[in-house]
Amino acid sequence: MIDMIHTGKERPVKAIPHPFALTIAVLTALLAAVTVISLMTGRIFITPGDVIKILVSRFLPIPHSFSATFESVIIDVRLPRVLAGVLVGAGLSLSGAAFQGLFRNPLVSPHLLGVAAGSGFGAAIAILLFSNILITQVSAFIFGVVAVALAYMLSRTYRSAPILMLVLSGIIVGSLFSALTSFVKYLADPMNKMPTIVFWLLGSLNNISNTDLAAVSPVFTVCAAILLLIRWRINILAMGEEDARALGVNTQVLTTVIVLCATCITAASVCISGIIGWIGLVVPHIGRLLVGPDHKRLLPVSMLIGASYLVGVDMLARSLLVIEIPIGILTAIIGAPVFAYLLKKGQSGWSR
Amino acid sequence: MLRWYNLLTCLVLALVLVEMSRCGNDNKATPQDPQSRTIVDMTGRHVRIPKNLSRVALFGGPSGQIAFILGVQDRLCAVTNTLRLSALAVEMYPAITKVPGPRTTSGSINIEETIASTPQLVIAGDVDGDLIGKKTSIPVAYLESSMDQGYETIVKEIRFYGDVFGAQQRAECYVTYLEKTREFLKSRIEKIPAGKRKIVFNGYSTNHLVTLGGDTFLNRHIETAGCINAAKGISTTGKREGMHVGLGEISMEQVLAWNPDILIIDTGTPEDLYKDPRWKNITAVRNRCVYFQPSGIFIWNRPTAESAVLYPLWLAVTAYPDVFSDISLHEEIRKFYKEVFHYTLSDEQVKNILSGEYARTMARPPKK
Repeated sequence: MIDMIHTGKERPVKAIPHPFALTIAVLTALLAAVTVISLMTGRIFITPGDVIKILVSRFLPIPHSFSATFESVIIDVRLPRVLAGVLVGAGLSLSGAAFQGLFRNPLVSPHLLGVAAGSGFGAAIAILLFSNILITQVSAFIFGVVAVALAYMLSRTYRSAPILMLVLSGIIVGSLFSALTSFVKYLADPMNKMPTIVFWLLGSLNNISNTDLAAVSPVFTVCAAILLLIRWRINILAMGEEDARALGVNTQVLTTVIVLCATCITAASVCISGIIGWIGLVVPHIGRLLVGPDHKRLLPVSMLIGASYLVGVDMLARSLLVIEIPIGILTAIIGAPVFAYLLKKGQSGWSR
Repeated sequence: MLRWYNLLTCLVLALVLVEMSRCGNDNKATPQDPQSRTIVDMTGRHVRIPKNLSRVALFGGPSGQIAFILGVQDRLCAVTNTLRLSALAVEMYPAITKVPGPRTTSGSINIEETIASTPQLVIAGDVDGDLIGKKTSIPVAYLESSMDQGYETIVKEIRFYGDVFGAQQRAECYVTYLEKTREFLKSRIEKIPAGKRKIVFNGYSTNHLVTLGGDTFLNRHIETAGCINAAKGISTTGKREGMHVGLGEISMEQVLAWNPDILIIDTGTPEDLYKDPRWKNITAVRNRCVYFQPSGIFIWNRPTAESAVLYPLWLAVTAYPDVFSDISLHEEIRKFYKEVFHYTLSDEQVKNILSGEYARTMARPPKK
């Protein structure tokens, strides 16, 4: 499979020559380390010993030598936030990598088909009309999926070059929903509702509860599993639609499945955390630098890197200052230079 | 050749001097129009306005209610849209829905609509004022931002409005009421020892984590009520993109670390928080001391004349019921509206103010 991709006019990809299993092991260890450090860091100081005891006491009957407040801080506040970082970071990176393969374009992010714009509108209108957090999240998810469905249907009305049409339809639908969001903001009461909408759009893992996690993790798991199962087929799509069809692959079905799964993952992320940019764009490039463009390896590696990245960045967002730093600002501040460096290095291993 | 140049230079200089002196004379010799007078706005600029001021466009967000305090609401020809969306303002003066609202937020004004309402004067903050000044010939009087200020700005603001509308007496009535209330609170609060002062966290927005820091007017209000602002150590008045100054988001864990005794929310219900496991260890939640922010013409967590009197009073009575056992909030609110707004609230209206109902209904379009 790798050989197939590397044939033709592309320059050879300099994948780092250590075995794939080792890379996965190192990245998994990194994620575990970041998660543990993150669970021990925060505005309230809790000794690492207590953190471990609190976590272990959930599974083993050990004496409760810690305070109930600390237990609540870890179990109800820090743990859901860290787990959400893992889910959202992994999910956005996975759908980013899948989209970059599907659209054969390194500058694609999971928000390409308008899911963020749709979710943003869904959230804004729900805040305007109901001010209820649950309705806001459900509405964000629904409108995110609706936006992509609209883009998809629009693209089917054209006969030629479906991938290109999908991109253009995504841009159209995205612009439409962005404009609608601006309109809602314009209607909103500037003293009360508008700051709420703005804070929501900025993106944050601040408000994640265990219930949120329970609600979205099935979506994440199912869609991620499907994408991981068909990941080698993305390689075929990445060769170009005509070549893929010549190899006997039903590109339309495959495209639909990838778009559907990636969209559900992104919409589920956005509905619990707002719009967090840069992760889905930058992380797949870091992944390609490590293991090359083969999606069989790229997808799991991107998930691991994305999870560590977001958990780490969120740790900074919540503990650096007394005030919460909007995470979108941090991911951009860290993501933009990293991306610039990768482009300059010209080693991102993009195969086309 | 040289002489020719000199001659020309002299001529030009002479012309310029004559022009300049004429301009100077023009400025000094203004009292030629007996129908107008000069006022000084809040930023110190001189503005000429007609003596019979009957059409004013009021574009200051929270300060729109001052027209109601002065009893000059019938002289407004255009207002901030928020004022028309205030359920209580509409109940007090239904005709406000017929007044156009060409301004939505700072910097977004429908200029043609403003001109069409034929104002003799526009009262606005810096951004809106510049916009009107640049595009129209309507005189503009500037307001001062009141987000980072205390009572002095509110007093200055209402005296300025009083001067503009020639309603100094009503303005002084408010100022006296404000001072009286603050004196009263101070006399009672003094008896509460420093160690017993309650910590208050204003948890706004849908996540109850957006708050106003120690450099805002709200910090002063909380101190006046004898409480401590949990977020007093942070500053939130810097300009932030896309939102009003004065707000900042706090992480959940930081709120747990502050562990406030009283929690004030402006979205959702206290019951939501009583059920949420993340909030269960906060003293305010354990003692069932989560309150919805009351709201009159404007929600009380904004720098308005109304909130300067009523927010501290409400908070003090709510936080220290033993110290204020002889005070009925219901009666106090009715008294304030009667004496300052010359409006008698019904029991239903007082109930709506205290429950924050008027903030919930704010976004709805005015009743026809």
